Amino acid sequence: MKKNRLIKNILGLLLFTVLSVGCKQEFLDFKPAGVISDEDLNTVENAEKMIIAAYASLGNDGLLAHQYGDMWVYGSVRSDDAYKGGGSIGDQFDSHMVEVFTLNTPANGNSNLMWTYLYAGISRVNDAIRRVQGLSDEDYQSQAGVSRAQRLAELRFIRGHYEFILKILYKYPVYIDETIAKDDIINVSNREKSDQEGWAYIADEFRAGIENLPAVQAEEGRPTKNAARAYLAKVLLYKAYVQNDQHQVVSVNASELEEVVNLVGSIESTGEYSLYDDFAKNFLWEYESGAESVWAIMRSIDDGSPEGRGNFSTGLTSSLGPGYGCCSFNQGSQNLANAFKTDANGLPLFDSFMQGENIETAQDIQSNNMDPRIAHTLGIIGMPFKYDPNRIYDSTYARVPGVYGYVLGMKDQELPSSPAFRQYQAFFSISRNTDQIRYGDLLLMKAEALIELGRMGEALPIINAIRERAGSAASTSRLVYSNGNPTGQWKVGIYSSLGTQEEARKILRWERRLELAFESKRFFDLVRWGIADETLNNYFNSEKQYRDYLNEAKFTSGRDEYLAIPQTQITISRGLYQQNSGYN
Amino acid sequence: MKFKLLFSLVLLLAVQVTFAQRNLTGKVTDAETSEPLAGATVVVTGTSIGTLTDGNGAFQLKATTAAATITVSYTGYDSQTIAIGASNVIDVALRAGAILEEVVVTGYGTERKKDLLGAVAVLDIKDVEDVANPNVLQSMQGRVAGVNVDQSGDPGQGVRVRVRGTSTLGKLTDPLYIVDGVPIQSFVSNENNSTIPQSWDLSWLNPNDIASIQVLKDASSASIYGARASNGVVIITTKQPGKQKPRVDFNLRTTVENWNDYDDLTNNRERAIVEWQGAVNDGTNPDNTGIYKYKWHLDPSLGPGIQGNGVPVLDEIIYPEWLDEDDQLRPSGHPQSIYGGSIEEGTDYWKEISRRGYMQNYDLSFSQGNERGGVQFGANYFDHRGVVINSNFKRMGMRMNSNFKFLDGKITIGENLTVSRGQRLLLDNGFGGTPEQAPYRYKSILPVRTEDGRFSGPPGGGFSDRDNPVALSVDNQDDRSSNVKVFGNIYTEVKLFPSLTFRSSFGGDYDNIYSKDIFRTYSRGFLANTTAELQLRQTHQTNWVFNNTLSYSKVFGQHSLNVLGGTEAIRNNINIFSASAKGFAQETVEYFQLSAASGERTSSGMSTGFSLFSYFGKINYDLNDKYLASVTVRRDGSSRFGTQNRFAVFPAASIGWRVSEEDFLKNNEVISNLKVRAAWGQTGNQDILNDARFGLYRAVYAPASNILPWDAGCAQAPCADAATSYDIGNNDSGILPSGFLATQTGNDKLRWETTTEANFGLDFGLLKGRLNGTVEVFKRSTKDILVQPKQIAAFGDGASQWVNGASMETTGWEASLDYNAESKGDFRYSVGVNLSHYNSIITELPESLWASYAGNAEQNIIGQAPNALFGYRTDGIFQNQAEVEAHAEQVGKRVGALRYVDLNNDGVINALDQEYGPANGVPVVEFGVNFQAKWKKFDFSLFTWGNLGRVVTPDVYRMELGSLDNGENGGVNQLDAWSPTNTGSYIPAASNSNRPFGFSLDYNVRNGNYLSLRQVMLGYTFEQHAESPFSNLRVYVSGENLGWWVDRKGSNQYVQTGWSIENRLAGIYPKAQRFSLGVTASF
Repeated sequence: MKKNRLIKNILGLLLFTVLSVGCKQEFLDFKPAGVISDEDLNTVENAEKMIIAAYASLGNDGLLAHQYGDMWVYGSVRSDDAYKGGGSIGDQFDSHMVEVFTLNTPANGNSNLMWTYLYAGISRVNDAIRRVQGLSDEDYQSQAGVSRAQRLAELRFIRGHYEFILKILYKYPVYIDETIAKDDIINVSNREKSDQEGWAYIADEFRAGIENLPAVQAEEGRPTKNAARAYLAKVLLYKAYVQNDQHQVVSVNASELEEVVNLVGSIESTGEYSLYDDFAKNFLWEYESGAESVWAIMRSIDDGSPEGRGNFSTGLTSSLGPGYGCCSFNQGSQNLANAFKTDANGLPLFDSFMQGENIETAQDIQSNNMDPRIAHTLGIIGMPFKYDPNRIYDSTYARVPGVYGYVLGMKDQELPSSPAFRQYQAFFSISRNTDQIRYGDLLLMKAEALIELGRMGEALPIINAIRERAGSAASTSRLVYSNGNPTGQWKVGIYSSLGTQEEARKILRWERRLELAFESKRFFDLVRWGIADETLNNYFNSEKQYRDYLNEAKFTSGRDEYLAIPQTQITISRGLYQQNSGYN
Repeated sequence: MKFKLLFSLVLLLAVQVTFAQRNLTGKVTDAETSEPLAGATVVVTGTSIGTLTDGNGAFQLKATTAAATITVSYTGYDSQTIAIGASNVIDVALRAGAILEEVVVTGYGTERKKDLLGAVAVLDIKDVEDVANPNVLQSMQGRVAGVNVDQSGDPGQGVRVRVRGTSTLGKLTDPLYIVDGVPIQSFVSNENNSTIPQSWDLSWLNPNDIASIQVLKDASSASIYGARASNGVVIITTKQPGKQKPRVDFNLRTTVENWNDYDDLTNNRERAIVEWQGAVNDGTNPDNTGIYKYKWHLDPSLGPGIQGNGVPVLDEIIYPEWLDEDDQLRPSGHPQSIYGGSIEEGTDYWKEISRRGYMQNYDLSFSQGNERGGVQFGANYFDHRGVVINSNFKRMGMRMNSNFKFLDGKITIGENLTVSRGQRLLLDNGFGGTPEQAPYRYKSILPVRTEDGRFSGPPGGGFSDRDNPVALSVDNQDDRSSNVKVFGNIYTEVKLFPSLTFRSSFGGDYDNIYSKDIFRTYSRGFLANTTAELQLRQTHQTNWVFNNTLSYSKVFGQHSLNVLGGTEAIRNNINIFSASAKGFAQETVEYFQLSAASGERTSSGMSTGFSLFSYFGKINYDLNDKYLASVTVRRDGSSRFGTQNRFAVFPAASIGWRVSEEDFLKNNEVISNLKVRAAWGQTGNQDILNDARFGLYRAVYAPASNILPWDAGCAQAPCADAATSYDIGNNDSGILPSGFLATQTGNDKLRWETTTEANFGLDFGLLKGRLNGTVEVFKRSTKDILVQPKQIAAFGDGASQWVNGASMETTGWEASLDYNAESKGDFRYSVGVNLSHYNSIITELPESLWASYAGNAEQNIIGQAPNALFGYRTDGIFQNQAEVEAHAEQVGKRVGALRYVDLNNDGVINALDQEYGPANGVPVVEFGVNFQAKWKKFDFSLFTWGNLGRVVTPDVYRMELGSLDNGENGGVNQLDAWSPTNTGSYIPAASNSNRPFGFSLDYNVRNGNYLSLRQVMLGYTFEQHAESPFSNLRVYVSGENLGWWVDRKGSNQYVQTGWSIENRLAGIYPKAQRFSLGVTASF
């Protein structure tokens, strides 16, 4: 009996233990740790942080696929300015496909990732907008010290920026704003807005900024009223060249061009921006976000993140020179190098630049009249590398010269000794802010609009100002050898007149090319002007004598002006998304 | 193991002086082998007078003259009753009993194997005891029908086990592992929204400690484990103390490993030829392509060639003399380079990164027990030096299992405890892949080292950015991951009444995983690391389980009833902390301490966990040993689901009929055993992230992975941890403001995934039990599968969401057959064969998930296997320009390219010209054959394993096509590619830029049939001598992974062999050939 009692006591104790565990409902409650819920973010303080997160997506660009900070593959490699470069043709084959056009398909994986990342950015904006809208004006003003309207305008500016990139890459993106419920996003087609409606929609994002953004922002990463004006001018300039569905320019809208002129004019009148005295300052970390920078992506280093929040978009474009890693992508074309040749008056050799000797080495630069912007733009054998007279660019800097030659892009380089430079393994990043619009670009947009409006006389001083700065003593002061001798026969003349509208166009387009080469603008310019087909096929025909891999390159008009809508997205949309012309 | 005496109730006899006595002696042996049986019970029938046989099988027994018979019994043998005749010497030869009496561990208890109604597979521990597998799960491969095991040869690396294929579409398809009643929790972490694989798996468990392994394959047998059993359950029991005299066992094994199964890569000369061929095929100048120069000419007399102006003919290759301007790096094979046989051969990087591996294993165990309890103690040391240089795994472990009985055995208190420490080198974090991948990507012209002794690196133009394979390995030599694990349980068992037992067990599983990763500075070629860095990571996992059961067992006449009921509570917690620091003044291993760093520091960490609470019950009923029935119910609640869907019930029922017990079969000469059974049951799956149901935002100040596209797979999909910090104030450095990132969309309705399975089984024994077999047929369907649909990209951040969506169905069968031949003299043998087959298809899938699987705008995966191949058809290679022009529009078509079939005849090859093919890597039949033989003191076994009807998708890109990429290396098959003078080849012409248009069901998919000679062993057991200190002494030699037969039928000849065909991936750690010498001794 005693034993049985003992047993029962033990049993009783154990059953108690069992039940005491079992009865507790909270035993099965497990709160996720280290995360925050949707509702908790609806305070002014957290809404401000969500806005930062929306800005942060600007800096989440990457080496190749999602290089939206500096789209060298899409803006330069696709044009007559640059070759893909890298270790071989097969190195980053997705980019080779877009370079030669003939191999590109809707299945291009990089293109799908680019699309995906841009929408990730848009979703951050929409999330932040919803939160800001849910708060009261008073709370916002008192707690954040800024109006709700201003923050909303900033957010729309960022969204407009993403939409602009989507538009020039894919022509028919999906427009997702904060009013579309998350569950409905799958039901939005990419053809709800026509081409022109899309441009108008994007323009509105910036019009809101003109209204609600302050003239000055204490934090330089935030866009100002002038930045909104500038971006609107850029959007309207694209919008003005009306395309049909086969991407041919069918008309040019004068009223929009007028607006471009007026917008840039109103920016000029504020005196906020000016051209740097020295062209080089646009491409040096020490001068980032100075007088010529209208709006830029902020980059940082030694900021508590593993490799710094630097610019990784250009992380593959360094040379193989000492202190650099690999990878020698984004190399300069012969065509571009030759385009910097000038005549005795310092004016471009519009029709004969490919005749005579090719610009391949420092000697070629010495023996020709040259626009000095070549030395800011391209790395050439025998020339000082990135203004360092003690570092001469030599043949070991290029990776496969047999395929891609020796010319490298210089604008996105910094010297390894720069505090902004960070090497990680074979690659590098720089913490120089990435300009999205600089004043020189903006002035040329105005000049372009003026010329298209037939107002050549007003465009002339703009183009000449750009040229004068390029050839100025300041701009050539860094272009010297260690003995102080200039590295080239720099000769930049100004135009006395732009001539006919046709001649003026040619001058303007040439000037844009020289001024903005390797700033990832060229291909989009060609498409906007409606001359991509002619320009690129001429280029391929002439360039393939130097680069035999271009044998298979061909630009197909009516298709290659835009990337395909990514096949993956069409598949997920169950056919709701429509493919662009020419891809099937 | 004959020493595995579990019970013996006999005490020394009581002497009764009133009767005359006789002294009986004799020897008990195995009737087949004539080996003595130690510890057999010899009893005077009907009395308590008895004894045990000694180590030589001998016994002495004092019996009264009145005693008529003695009964001799021994576990695993049929008992015999022998009449006591005139002689006082009685020798008894026992026959091994039918295995029907075998007891197997099922959920929360044991059952006789002959009573099983579901599909339960038992791994015969005896077959694998001496196999040199550091991980016990590896031994199941091919030996248990319906259980597939994958493992690389990487020391200490975990294995992947699949029971009957997979029952879910999710990533976590591992079975539930239960060791001594305690579930092993695989690591699931929501850091980076991804699962951290439990790469240690059961590598901490010493195979020699294991008493039994059972696999519950079907839902009816597994449903007692309810919520987590849908991928099957593997139950492992460690050795328990028995009733026996003190005994010491010692095992020693040394293994040598060789890796000689390399993929065949081009040497320097072959590489040069391939590069030339690619360039001339493209019409580009081969001298400009890479590092080689050539003398060659066009010969129009041979034909037009691909470019139409003649066939190029190579006359001479000019190898580069110097590779870098410092004159430090000369090509392999250069007179001043110590690497490479000749300039043509270059460096063979397979040879450079491989070495002879070895394994050493020492086990020492001690056990003792009596009716008051016992102790089983074991210690193990295992050292594995892998076949890739600098790879290594060490394990030290101790285990103590003990039990104590009180109150005449009414109360048992016991414990199982394992303490183990494993340590392995982390080979997997070098730039450019792991060392074993690197030879595919590093040119053989590069020597291992430069003349000044540093490692070579890509020197410049013509080379990819991939790193030196040897350097990658050496860089990792101080990187370690070590795991201290404390695992075990304490339990008590109380016999309340003779038929009612209460059992309570509290188990714990604690892991402390510490990893250290050192990045030294280096500069080799254009690769460099300028900042030394130390990364530390510490993971703590605590998992405890408390279960209480009450079991009732009673026989009422012909009725036998077993009832079990219980509760179980499980709690899991994981804490992870990691820190890194940069800038080290010295780079000695001792100096790499966080506090010694002078540069930037980062830290991160997280914690997570889950809990489960369950009630379960089981009733087994048996009528007359003929008719069997069983019912199981489990109700599970999990913290991973919302309150409304938190609990679910998983029932099961099964019936069986032992036909051979019926009168009409009872004394049948042919059929000794026949049982038919049918079972139905449900199991669940909750293997999702702990916080899967919540909508989540997370601060991501510092992205770990969106910089290098190959980190965290951000080249293929957006990084899950894209940063939220931004230098809004343009300060350029310092702490940045940061926000939050939506990482997951919540789902309150999330609930269990449920698997329903019907299983029909047939067990038979023929020819007096010499031929035994089992056949199982099953159909399994899973619904509400937990999936993460692919969102349209326009959704943006936070698109990841768990939903209950899809359904799938698997049908299959398994068969196993064992034949024990009658012994002929000193020779006997047995053969075992097992076969299995399964076929899975997706039966239901929401539209939002279609894009997660292969398909296009017109076709979806429904009705296909989840991993069905999807692709284009090809019909050969364009032989001439006329064929090219006649063909439909196809991107990149030209002479020498693959010709794709225009399936829908619309004149253009595009995404719609694809169709479904077979499932990737799933064989029609997987089989294992086990042969064992004994002759005198020798024993021999042979084990083969194979797959039939399987297709694989080897890396044809690298081995046949992608050779010209990035200045890398590739397979020799490229030399056989199509050319104007080799028009019969199935490999498209080499090219720099022309590659196959898309994945092809003909070209990319290859025959994956094979048969592998998995193991051969020969052992010798020494004769017992009275003066020998050993009660058992055996030596053996064995070989593993000895050879492969690969089916090369068909036009596409290239199939990866050896380890890569089995592992299905190029560039993962090889499975080495192993030769072992071992000794087992007991005294």
